[in-house]
Amino acid sequence: LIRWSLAQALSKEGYQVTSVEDGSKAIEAIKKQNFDFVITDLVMPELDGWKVLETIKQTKSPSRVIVITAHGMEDTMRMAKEKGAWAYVEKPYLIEKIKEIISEVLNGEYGSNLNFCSS
Amino acid sequence: MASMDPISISALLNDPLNFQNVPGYPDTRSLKVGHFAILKGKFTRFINPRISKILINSINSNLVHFLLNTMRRDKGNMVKILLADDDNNFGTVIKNELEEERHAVDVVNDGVEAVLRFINNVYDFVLLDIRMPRLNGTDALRIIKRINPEVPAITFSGKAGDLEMAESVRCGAMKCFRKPFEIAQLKNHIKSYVLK
Repeated sequence: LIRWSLAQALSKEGYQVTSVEDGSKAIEAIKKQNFDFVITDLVMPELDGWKVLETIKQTKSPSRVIVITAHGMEDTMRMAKEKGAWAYVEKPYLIEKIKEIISEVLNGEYGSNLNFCSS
Repeated sequence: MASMDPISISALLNDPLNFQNVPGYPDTRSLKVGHFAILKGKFTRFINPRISKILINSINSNLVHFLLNTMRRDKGNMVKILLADDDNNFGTVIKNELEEERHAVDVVNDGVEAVLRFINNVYDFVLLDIRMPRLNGTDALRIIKRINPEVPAITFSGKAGDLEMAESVRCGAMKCFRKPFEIAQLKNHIKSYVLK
């Protein structure tokens, strides 16, 4: 449901969103296409978000990874940053936070043609 | 068309303009952004909320009818909705979608809040998630329906079983959706309420 909400919200903002239901499908999608952002939950069936993050970091031009964590998981957030996550967001207010991150990116050097993979 | 004397009406930001001085219309009527008015002698849509004073140079009974009908029509299309869902992300998506349709949406995160809001405000439509903390959506709906049996309600859930969903319909929900659902379906139900 989080994935659905996020995909709805980002599509509404005009971004191209690819939505997949688990880590292994995320890896498949990443191999086929370059994404500006990959937004991933850490707890997923098949392949968890840590593996997704690790795999992305090994690619030639890694996407920025936004990791979704439960509220108040400071250790997890810190670990995600250490493992190369570009940002992390907490579940309860995901959409607003991600919109903030996007607007920061849009105001920066990256331009507006952003592409998302949400898992 | 019987012309009336020029009327000067003051309006502060977002304050309603008052028609109570217009002969034949003793009730308080409000003019808000989007309605038509004669501004500086020109018939125009009232679009600038920063205008602190509007001078209506001339007004006639036909115009007053037109303004009041416009107001009623605008009010008729806008549905005041109470949305209760403990999933903030889902709530945000639904709120934004419905606000795009020019509805007013208040969001709360549990059943107790939903009931309290319903007691203290007037809502045209209620949307309730079934599984919420403190008081579930079905029990909240039971109370809401005792307060106002006529208020249309739709429930939804991602986790509730078929029996729970059916129970919410027995308690008066016109429909219970399995999350995620097509937002267009929800909009259509609200639209059909507006058209009634």
